[in-house]
Amino acid sequence: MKRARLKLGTTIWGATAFVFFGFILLPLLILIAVSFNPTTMIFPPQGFTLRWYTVILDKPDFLSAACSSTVLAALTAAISTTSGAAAAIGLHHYKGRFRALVQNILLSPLFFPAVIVALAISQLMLIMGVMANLAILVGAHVVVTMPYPVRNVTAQLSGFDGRLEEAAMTVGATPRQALLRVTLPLLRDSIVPSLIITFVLSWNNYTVSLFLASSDWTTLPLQLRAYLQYEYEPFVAAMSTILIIMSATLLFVVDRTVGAAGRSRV
Amino acid sequence: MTSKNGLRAGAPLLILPAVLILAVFFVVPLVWIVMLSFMTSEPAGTTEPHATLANYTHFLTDSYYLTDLLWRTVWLSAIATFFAVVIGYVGALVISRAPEKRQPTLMFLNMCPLWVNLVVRTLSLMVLLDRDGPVNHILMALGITSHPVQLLFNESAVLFGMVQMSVPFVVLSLHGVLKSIPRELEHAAMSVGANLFATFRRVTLPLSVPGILAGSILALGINMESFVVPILLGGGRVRFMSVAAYETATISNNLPFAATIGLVLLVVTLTMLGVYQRLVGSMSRVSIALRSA
Repeated sequence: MKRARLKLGTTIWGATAFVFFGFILLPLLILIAVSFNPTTMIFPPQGFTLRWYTVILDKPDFLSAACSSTVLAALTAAISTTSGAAAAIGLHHYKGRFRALVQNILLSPLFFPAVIVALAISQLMLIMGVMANLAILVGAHVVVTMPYPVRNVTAQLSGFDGRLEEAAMTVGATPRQALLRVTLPLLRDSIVPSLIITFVLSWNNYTVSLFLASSDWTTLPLQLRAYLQYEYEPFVAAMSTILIIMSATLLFVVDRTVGAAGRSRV
Repeated sequence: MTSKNGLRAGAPLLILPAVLILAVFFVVPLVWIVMLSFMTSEPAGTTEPHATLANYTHFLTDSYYLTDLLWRTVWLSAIATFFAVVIGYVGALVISRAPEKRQPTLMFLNMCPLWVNLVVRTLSLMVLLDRDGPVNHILMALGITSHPVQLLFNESAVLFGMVQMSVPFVVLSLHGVLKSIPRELEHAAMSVGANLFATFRRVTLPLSVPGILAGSILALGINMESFVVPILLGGGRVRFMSVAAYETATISNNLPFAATIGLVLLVVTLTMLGVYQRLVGSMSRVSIALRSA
């Protein structure tokens, strides 16, 4: 009797799990399947071809957008994580009056719709007569991604043994040496995922880039959306599949290097 | 301890770069659009530097902006959040009741969509809901409809998209909470005669309120600022606040009014989140008080 009920429970559990993960993952799997369809953007596919993947090589605008996106994301990840982690370490030691204020400001981009941040920066550029350029795009991406390194590093520091730094300095290390040789290596588990998360967020960002990208520095998500407006063929599915695989690979790397602790920090 | 003071003295220097970046690219621009929202736009696209409430009165008195735009954004986001929390709760429950060893893998699967570009995720839903897509095939196979239905480019498509996008976030906020509920409590309730449903309603659900609260706040914030989903799945027919702000700035070139739309969205979002947090907070306090009485 009890065993039968247990078995029933397992069956219900399995069925629910299947439906739930189908709901969140099936659309992406369907999109991947469509990328091998020789005819149109229709599922189920009516054949199998790798043609759409080779077509990408004939589209220089997509290749240059991929380059732009990668440069932008790398710069964003480097600047966002460096300044965010430094600020988190600084806040950990800073006991002054403005501590709460600074911390709130650093985390606040999380609570502001990205549209507003992007709109505000583009309006300010307009009044100051500044043309769209890479520096501004990077700055905007850094703003919307910085809360993640700040939060991750702060979280790890809260369980951090401050005596390690003191010990280093007692045996003659300067504050700078203590920081570089003791604190930073110990913070690896929050800094590495932060780098990857900020990279992925910037790489995937659409809204901020839409307001601030110039015609000669367009990103992959923008290019994909622009392409969708006049072409709806499996080529965009092939492009998307590449993006999906890249994201999944990065997520997998985070998973393997720092484990669940890093993964859940998105 | 001079060395200790050394780190403390260096602290502001470490904070400075981040604060400078945020000042230039966040605080100053925001101050500027607040100022801009009180200016008026001339037909030529220039702005008049006189303080006026004209943009706000325009927004709040025109039924198009108030009901068609703001109300639709709020209403659709709220419904989407409700569905996302229900579905996300089921997902989180399923994951937290899986064997301990399998849970990291299941959470990995849940996280996968969050790492994929929003344009790509929305595109995948367009393929799904296409006239010749799988959903239409299933509907016809089940005999619900005899010919393909237009599922895209309407409010339901946008709603479906928002739910699909925000569910993984809800799971993320609920998983930890559900995991931390001791299974012994549920077993205890069942051993004194409560059935599965009663155990869920009286034990599991009340204890997971903090997670529900966190999950719905996250989902509501994400849904209110939806941009890609209404553009692509709404096909330009479903008006949404963030889309309107973008179009007012770029197509109509009315910068002050675009700023106003953006700020109304911000204020309404923050107010809704605040009210919701209070409401649920006091409700759970009442229910806890009733239970313990």
